[in-house]
Amino acid sequence: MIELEVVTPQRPLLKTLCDSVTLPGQEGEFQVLEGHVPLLAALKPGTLSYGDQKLMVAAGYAEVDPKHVSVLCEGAAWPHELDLKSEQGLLEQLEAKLLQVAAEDEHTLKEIQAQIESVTARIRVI
Amino acid sequence: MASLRDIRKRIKSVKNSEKITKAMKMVAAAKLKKAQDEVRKSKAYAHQLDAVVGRLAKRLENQGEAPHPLLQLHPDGQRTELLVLTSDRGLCGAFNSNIIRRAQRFLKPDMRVSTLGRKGYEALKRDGVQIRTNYSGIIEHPSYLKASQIAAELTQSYVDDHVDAVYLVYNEFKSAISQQVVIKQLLPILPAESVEDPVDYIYEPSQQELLNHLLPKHLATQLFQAFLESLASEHGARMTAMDNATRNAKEVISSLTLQYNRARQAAITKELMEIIGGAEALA
Repeated sequence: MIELEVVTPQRPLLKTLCDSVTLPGQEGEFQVLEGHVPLLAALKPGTLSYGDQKLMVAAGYAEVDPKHVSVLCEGAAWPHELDLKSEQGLLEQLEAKLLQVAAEDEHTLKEIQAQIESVTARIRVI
Repeated sequence: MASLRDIRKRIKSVKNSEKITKAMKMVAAAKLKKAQDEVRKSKAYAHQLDAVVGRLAKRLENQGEAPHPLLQLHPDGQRTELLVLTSDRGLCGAFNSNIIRRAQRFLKPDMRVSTLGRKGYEALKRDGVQIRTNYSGIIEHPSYLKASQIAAELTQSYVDDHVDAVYLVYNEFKSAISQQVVIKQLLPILPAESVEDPVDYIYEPSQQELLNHLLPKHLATQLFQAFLESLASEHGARMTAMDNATRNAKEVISSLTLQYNRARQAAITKELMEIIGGAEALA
């Protein structure tokens, strides 16, 4: 068993024991079991799953040691807290916005892309 | 001596003020509870992030790497920016004036000033301080997103070498009845001193990149934490101020009531004397 802890700036979300955790690493999805070597990994927006539970997490990072996984991310939500329709609406809005932004405005472009990424991650969880 | 009717009017108006201050006290108490809760809930994140950044920075330092731009001091830098965090609304005792006084003592002529909150903006502008930006509409509903936007802005101007240090002055939340004005250094970032021996981690991506990733978050978290604490302090200060105001109103009412009763008694006595005097004259 390994202890999983998920913390966001707004609230500590979760602290539980589980067999394994799958995390959306920046360099690819990875799974953590008990006895994992110490690891500090950046996460991209995606799905965190453990047991039969799923959780949407925003960008952040995970700190892993043999008995403990702590995930610090800028936002997280349970699937039941999300609404598919409104998320899809948001995605469409963002995509429309993306088309309008001039290619040279790199900063805004990146920002919108990051938003799209996290919305897509949320949709995938639902 | 004031007439009966005048006193009655005054009692009525003080009673009205008392009702208002009492209601405001209740509202502040309810909001305080919520804000206090949020401060508590956000502590875990801030604490853990601080620890990780501290460990990572320490490791890189031990390896003899050049420190990250956000950790690096700008030696003999003179250009300082001060962020002044006040509330948007008044009626909260010395909450804002304490901050403003502290800020003015800290200020030197060539410092850049930005304000968060209307009260600080108005007061400093009145005193002729040049204000770079006023971030409005943030204090009432602090959000992590807004904190990270401001953090990104500050980071950019630090990296581009427009400022050499950034400080934040705000009310630290001690308890419901006490706040403390503190000045906190935001940039360069001062990570927590890590005492424990750093464990050999696998880093994904590299340590440098992770630190690049984490430091802006660290700054945003510090700002966010300050917003929450300031909001909780504000409600606490308002609650105390309104409690005092209610008590004062009660005192005024009781002294006015006494005066009213005396005046009434005097009027009755006077009338009686007149009647008796009249009856004696007839007899």
